[in-house]
Amino acid sequence: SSVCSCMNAEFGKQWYQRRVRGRVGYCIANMLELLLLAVVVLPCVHALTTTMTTWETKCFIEDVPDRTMITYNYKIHMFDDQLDAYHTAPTPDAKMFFTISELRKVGDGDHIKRIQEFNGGTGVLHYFAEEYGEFKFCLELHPQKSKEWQMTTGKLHLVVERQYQDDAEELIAETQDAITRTLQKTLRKVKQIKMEQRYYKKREQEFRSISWLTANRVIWFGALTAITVIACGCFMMQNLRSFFIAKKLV
Amino acid sequence: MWFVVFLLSGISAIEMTFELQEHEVQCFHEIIPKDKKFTLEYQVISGGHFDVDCHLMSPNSKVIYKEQRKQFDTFHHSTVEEGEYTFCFSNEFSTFAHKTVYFDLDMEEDNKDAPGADAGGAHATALTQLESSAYAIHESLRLVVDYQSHHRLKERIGREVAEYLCERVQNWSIGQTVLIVIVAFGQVFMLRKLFDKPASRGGKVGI
Repeated sequence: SSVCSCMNAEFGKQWYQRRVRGRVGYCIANMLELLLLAVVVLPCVHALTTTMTTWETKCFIEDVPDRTMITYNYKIHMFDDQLDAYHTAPTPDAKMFFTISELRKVGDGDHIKRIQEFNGGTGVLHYFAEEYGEFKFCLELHPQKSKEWQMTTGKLHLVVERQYQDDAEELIAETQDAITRTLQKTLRKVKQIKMEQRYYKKREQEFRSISWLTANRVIWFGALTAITVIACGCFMMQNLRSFFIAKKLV
Repeated sequence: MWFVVFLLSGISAIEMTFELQEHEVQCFHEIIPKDKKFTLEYQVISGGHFDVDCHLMSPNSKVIYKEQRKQFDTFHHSTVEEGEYTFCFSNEFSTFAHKTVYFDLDMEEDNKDAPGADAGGAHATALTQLESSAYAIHESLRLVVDYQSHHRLKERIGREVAEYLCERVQNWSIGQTVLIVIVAFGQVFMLRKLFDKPASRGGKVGI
């Protein structure tokens, strides 16, 4: 599958694991022992299908912990008027624009990190998030070369993959034993939960610091406003008093 | 081949966060086989009154689920036919609020990994206590992951409100201070202007 080739071919050496002998203790002499030269543990893959019209923009938001590799693998099948159906294979002259921006704080605006253009109806976009945060991935469908002035629709197949980089190297052996498989899946889930919990802890700390900042701001700006009111009052009284005295009205 | 099977067996849930502009409808399609249980869960994370319309259609265009202006909801269903199911989120009622919506389509996992159904062997093993414990742990962890993502969403909503509040407090305080100073100077200026005309007013002012 395209995801498989993506993982094996596109990543660098640092992502490959060394072979480790199993310690689970089940006899696997006669079975196929496929030690996966798997990259980074814990891939999370989501596949969805939706429709898009020309010039339409679809935005997805990824909320990820630090050191996560996000991969968007898309295929677009355009609608053919002659066939009156969607193409069965990705349309070669469809153009797609990807924009990745980072949303850190409200009101700061989106910081655009990368813009990439894809031709050929299918493409893979990788993005490595060093810092944790929310990233907005926007896809914009541009008109096909053969139909510059027409509005057409296309069916978009999107496979989104999030891979968390983990420190420990882990044995991933495919055995045919159900219990080993279940235990390994369980272990993987536990690691995923641990990683996400770490991220949420950081997020919650950020939240708390924002609340403290707000509390401080309320106090200080309240004091500032009160002092301003008093100062203006004094200024007004003093100014008008001297004015009236000069004018001999009092 | 094993690798692909291993990877594909993980795709039993689709969870995405996307943006929905005003007056927009976004639809997602998914091919689900017969006799499968799935759960669709969605929550509005930001925008306006935090509500969205949602409807789910079966392959023969029958509406299975339809709700208007909900903030979050969970829907379970068992499929009776195989085909492409469509679920749509609509923001047509809103005039200027664009929303961010999170949805999670969770399908029942394949039973080929359950203990007692060996992929290679022809015999079905009886469930030992160890195997059933392992299976139970795995199922519980799926629930934990589910609760964790709820928690993450609620924290996200709370944090956005907090950030917005922080900015607002500062801006409005500065605005208020400036306004007070302007009003004070303005009052003084106006009052002085009233008395600036010379005694040609006609003896009412002064002694």
